Amino acid sequence: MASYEELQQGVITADEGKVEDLVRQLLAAGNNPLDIIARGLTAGMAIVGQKMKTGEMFIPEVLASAHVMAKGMDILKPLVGDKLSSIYIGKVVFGTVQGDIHNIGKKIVSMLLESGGFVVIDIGVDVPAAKFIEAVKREQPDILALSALLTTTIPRMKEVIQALSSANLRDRVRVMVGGAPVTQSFADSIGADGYAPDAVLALERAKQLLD
Amino acid sequence: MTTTGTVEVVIDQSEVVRRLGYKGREPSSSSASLIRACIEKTSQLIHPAYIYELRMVERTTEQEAFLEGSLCFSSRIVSYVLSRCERAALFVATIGGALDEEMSRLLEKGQLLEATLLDAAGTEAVAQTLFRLRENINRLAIAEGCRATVQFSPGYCDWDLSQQKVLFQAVDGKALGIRLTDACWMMPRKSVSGVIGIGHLGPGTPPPCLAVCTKRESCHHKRVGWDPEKQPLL
Repeated sequence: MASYEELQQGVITADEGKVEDLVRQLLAAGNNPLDIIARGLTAGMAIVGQKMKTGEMFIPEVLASAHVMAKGMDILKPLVGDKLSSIYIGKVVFGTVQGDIHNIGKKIVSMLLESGGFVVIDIGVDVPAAKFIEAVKREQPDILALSALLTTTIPRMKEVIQALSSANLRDRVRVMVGGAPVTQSFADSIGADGYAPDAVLALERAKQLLD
Repeated sequence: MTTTGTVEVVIDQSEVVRRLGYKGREPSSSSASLIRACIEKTSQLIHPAYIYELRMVERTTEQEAFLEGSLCFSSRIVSYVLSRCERAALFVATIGGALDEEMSRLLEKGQLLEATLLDAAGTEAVAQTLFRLRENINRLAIAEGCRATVQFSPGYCDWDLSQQKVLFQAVDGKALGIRLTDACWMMPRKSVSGVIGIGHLGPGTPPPCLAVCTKRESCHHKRVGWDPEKQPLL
């Protein structure tokens, strides 16, 4: 009989066929789809995150696991309907700042945030401050995540934070920053609430910001 | 003088693995075979090529370097390097746009893993292209009794990305199908531009990051283990 532990293992080893089979078996055995998500898929990804943190897994393995988790979610989502929002832990609006067109790093962090229970609204690359403000007003996220990959574009992060203040939105959203040239001291200097040096720590930090 | 060329590059799997963050560890067997497949695919999609233009260095100040043809680069780092050089090779290199297109297609389909692996393989391919270009320039320099410096690119250290416009005044990027966006990014994305100094450089010249860089404390390269003490100017 299929178990949540087996499903977790399927996520960890990124075995797509096994995960899809186990999800169907667990459903057939009468398990609640929300339990299958929380105790199987999300729990498996949490172990993956820990393994990345301890250097046992790396970005390609983690992405493979996240992809497999998403396949499992594809089966479960239609069965959960409106109740899906009950398992989301927060909403993130995510973009790469104006002048910067790096995308892959943002996509990786987005995928890990999603696999960790966040809804991510990706507003793209080369995003001007005004577009971040519009997105915050429209989506009302818990976290605004800003990405930049060059020393010459990270000053744009400060402009976005200043624009939030000017629009009286700064108290309504936590701001996280990341990207190769970003440091904790830079994040502090521009008044960001959170910084993470890599994708796994970004998920951890995002969860902390919700506390 | 303008020089163009194409190069054959072999994408080194161990370098791609390093770029993916494995920090000396081995990928799982399934990841390793995916990485191999993506390197193979990348190799089929790339067309490595370069173009460079040699210009005389006319004079330098602490902040600026003035080159033949009314070119002025604003950067303490670049100025420091070129103050020790007689000439400069202004270059752009690319692996072409087919990889960009494939990565965009994959991202649209949600295939982030494969796109990430192609991105790492493409980055290594453009690094190899640049390495081959610098080898050629260094050979040219040595034939004239000179040496070539390492390369410096707009967007790094204190050299603002907007200075791409000055560089592209001298180098015909369009000849390789490269264009600048309004924000001065190059398209195709897997392209690199910059300057390599050529001069009678003696041993022991301190690297610019030790001599003039004001961003040492927050340097990303330093944080990821790069040691400027071990990097000569040459």
